[in-house]
Amino acid sequence: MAGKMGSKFVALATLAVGAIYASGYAVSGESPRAAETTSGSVAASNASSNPSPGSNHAASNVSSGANHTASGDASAAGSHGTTNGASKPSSHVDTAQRYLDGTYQGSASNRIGTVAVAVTIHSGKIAEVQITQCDTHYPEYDIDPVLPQYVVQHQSTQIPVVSGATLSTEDFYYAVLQALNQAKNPNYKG
Amino acid sequence: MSAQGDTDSPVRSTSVAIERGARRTDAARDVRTRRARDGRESRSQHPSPGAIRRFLKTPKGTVLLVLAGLLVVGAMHGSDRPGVVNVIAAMTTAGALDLAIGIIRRNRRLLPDGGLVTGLIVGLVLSGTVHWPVAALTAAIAVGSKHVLKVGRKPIFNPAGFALLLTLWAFHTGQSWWGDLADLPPVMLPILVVAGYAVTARVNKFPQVLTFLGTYFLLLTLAASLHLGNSAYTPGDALRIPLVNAALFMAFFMLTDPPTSPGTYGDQVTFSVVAAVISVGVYLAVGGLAYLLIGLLAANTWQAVRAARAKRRQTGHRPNDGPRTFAVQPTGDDAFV
Repeated sequence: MAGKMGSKFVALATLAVGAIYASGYAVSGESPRAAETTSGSVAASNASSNPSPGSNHAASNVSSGANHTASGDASAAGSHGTTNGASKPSSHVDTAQRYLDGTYQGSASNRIGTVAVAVTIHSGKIAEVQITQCDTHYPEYDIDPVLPQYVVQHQSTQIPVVSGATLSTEDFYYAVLQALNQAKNPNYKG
Repeated sequence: MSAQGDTDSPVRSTSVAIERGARRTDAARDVRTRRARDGRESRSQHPSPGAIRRFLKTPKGTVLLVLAGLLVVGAMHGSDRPGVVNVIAAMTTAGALDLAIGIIRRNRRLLPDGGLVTGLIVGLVLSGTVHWPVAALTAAIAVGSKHVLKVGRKPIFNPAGFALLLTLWAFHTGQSWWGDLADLPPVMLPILVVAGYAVTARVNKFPQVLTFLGTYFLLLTLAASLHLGNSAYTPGDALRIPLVNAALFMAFFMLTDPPTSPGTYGDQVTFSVVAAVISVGVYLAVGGLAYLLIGLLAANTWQAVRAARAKRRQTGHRPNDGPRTFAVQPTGDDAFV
């Protein structure tokens, strides 16, 4: 076995590692993704018609500069149809329906990864929520199918935070919110 | 010296002094004998304290104690508390399996402390949302790998790391690494670092740990400067909670496993560079959860190949060739995983 490393040398080496870490932390601090994300999240939150505990949490994250991203353009509060070319918005306009029929995509990212969803609206109601991508550091089954089912059953984005999967829940929440923003009926008189 | 001694002749005073010294020596011997006898009696009545203290000073004992402390601290967070069930399941399974294998092999030393540490690490990495049978299965695979995948008498792969990677790929087990205290406020991070340093000092692996962390952070810093990585897995994310905690946990408690890592300082450095380069490369390329485990197992493979080559050279070595130096490794008793 090698001889013992001196405590002073350990301390010096620790300082060196700490300096490298601090440099890396500083260099990676202001990524372009963070800026993009924050604006996307604010837009999504403002456009939300269902403020929830999740949105409160999200808002606090946004104010602290957390890395949330909304990959589509949801800033016009649903005036844009959809992104990714996957939705099929209905031509039928009904002032009684909150959402227009079709399938809408949404995605959100934070530091643990990205969650993308496809929300299907039928007869103005959320008929199906499908997680189309769960590219996070944690397994998809932490949030799937519990959260998609919850949204469909309650017709709401007020989802409970899944224990042990808080950041995955946040991603899912923002993704659904973004999709529903696109699905909003501009003529809704509710 | 007494007043009487001052009046006596030098010869007499010297003999008196010798006599007194002999009496003192006899008295001291009696005291030592009595104390030793009392100690033996005391130990025979309460055999545990001395044995436990001695065990806790071993590498396995130290890491078991430290990880148990992290378990208690980590369980302060409500969402991580269900993970305690997994820890119990994993430790029970790994300990029982290790004990059974020891009995079958008629080992003189049957204490399954290695299995207990393996189970503890498995439980602290698996998410609390994982069902306990999965944790038990992961622990069983870990112990099995330790006894099956070997070069000579030493396991090739870190048992916990191997099993966690295998079950991650096979069953998509959730791994939250809650034992790294990532879910607790950042002020708790020093607890992890202090605990890690205690274990690292005990197994004499500072060059290994510091080289790994230095290389790992340096590569991520370079990657951040060059805007490498993808949108979901930026280098900056790996440098922040919770991912940085996982790297620290892996470096302190898995990378330092004596039988699966080198003993000499030079080899420790190379071993860690391999682990760090592979970990960062995998992270930047595909992200996911497995990058630290892949880096660890890659370094384990490098170490096994190196050890096998050295053994082959040693086997073909003639006595007249002169002395050769090989890394001295702790035996299986010193291994903590």
